Amino acid sequence: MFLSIKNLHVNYESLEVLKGVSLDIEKGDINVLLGANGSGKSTMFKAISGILRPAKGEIFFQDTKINKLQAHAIVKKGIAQAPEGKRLFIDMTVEENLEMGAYLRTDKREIEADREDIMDRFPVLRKKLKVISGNLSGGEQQMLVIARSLMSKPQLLLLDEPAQGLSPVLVDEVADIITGINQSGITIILIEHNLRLGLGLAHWVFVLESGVIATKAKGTDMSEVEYAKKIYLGG
Amino acid sequence: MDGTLLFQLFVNGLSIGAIYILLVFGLQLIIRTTGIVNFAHGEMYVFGAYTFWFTYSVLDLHLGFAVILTVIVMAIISGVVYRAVFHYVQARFKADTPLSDKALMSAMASIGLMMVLSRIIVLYFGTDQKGIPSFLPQVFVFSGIRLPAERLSIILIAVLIAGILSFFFFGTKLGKAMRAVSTDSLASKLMGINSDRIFIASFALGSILAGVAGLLIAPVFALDPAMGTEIIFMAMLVMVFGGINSYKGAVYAGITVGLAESFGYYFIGIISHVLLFVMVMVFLIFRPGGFFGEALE
Ligand SMILES: Nc1ncnc2c1ncn2[C@@H]1O[C@H](COP(=O)(O)OP(=O)(O)OP(=O)(O)O)[C@@H](O)[C@H]1O
Ligand SMILES: [Mg+2]
Repeated sequence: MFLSIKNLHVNYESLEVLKGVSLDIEKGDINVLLGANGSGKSTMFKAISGILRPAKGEIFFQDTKINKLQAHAIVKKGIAQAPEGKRLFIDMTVEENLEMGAYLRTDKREIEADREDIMDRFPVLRKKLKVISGNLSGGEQQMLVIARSLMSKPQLLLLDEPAQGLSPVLVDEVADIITGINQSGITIILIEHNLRLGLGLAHWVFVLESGVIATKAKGTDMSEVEYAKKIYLGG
Repeated sequence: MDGTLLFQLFVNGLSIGAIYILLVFGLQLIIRTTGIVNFAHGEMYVFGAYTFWFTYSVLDLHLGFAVILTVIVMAIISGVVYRAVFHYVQARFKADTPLSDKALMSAMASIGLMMVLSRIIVLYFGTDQKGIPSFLPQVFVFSGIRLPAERLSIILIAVLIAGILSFFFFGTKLGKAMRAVSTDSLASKLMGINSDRIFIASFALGSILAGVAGLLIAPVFALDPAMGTEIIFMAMLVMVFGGINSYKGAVYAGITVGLAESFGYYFIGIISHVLLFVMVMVFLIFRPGGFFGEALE
């Protein structure tokens, strides 16, 4: 199994958020993680990335146990995350942000080549390499968060609400970008409240509910309305 | 009033300002990356001065060698201090802990540490003042203006260090990583940056700057174990005056306070410190963010 989570428990002090999440993900798929606000989706990403220590349970990536590793070691193993909320290094330029994305890599020439490829996916950013990232528009910042996460050359990419706050045109663009990234061989887990976007891309859909994965389904198994009812109305 | 004297006071003021600037750069670097407000920073300045005195004056080592040894000793002392004390303080900070809470937590730890370190300095080196023979005893005289080479060298070295720091922060991977951690330590972890290592490196670099400030001042003033406790409060004042987040502000505030001290002390004596404090407080009432911070609406 590519990524395997077994009985994962994560708490914030006394608040139990994840209460035994188990899930398996195969190489090459786009997996969409759904769940109501506050259901613990971002928490799950933080646990996978080693930002939060699980209270119980295990996470395996390509059959190696990673839940005891530090965050930087997990990036080194090939897992990158584009966190929610446009967390850029806002007083650094676009170029420097991308450079930080490639922090663990030393192959200068390959980094340069990869950056060129990534810029082909994000033409708006190519023209702004020298701009301080805090001065980019919201949409451009969102693009940069994704672009930066690709710079570590990940095998598994965790995208936390990459289309948040984007206009419909840009949402479609992000959908195309995600498809393109996936076609280049990167496995994806996507957190997305926009069901049209999420279900449009998903090979598999996981629904997080009451701290566990309540549903695993093919992207086409249920309609948007059925999902919406399940996630947001608890039906 | 004699123009020559004014010019000498000006150069003295600038050299004091340069010392403040180096100290404040260190304080700011440490606050911005680790969130720690280090009141023991003044003791690092003392360690720098005494280590230099010991290597240069007592062991009689070559000047360059004594400087390098001082820097190495500062790196070791600060590494130990960080790992023994601040590592545990830092580990309690969360992504959303406000700076005021961090400041309070780290102030408690660092004031305690300040007392411990200053006792260690007394135990080790005694309370008597120590002098270092000047390594630049020359005095340049331009049309009646006497400029001691030592004072000038402090200013030049501070400018040089500022240049090196700017290259370091904008031109090297480690420097950029320090900037990244200081803006968003969570995001920098997701980039694969080992933030614990960056914390300790920033703390060491900041402390080395304090040590270098001590080294530079050593040949000018007699060394005294209490010099750290005296200067740390002035340095904190300068930092707040310039704005905690602005290196540029630190330069302006350092120069302003250095000049005010030099002229004030000459003309009105020790009371000038009180006036300086009042001046800065009044300024901060209207511009609580410091020189380049936000003006009060
Ligand atoms: N640092 C924290 N400290 C304490 N509680 C937290 C912290 N971060 C998140 N929580 C709580 O944990 C729960 C899950 O949060 P999480 O961010 O994982 O939700 P989410 O599913 O990503 O929600 P959204 O869709 O709104 O982004 C929420 O109740 C939240 O309030
Ligand atoms: Mg979330």
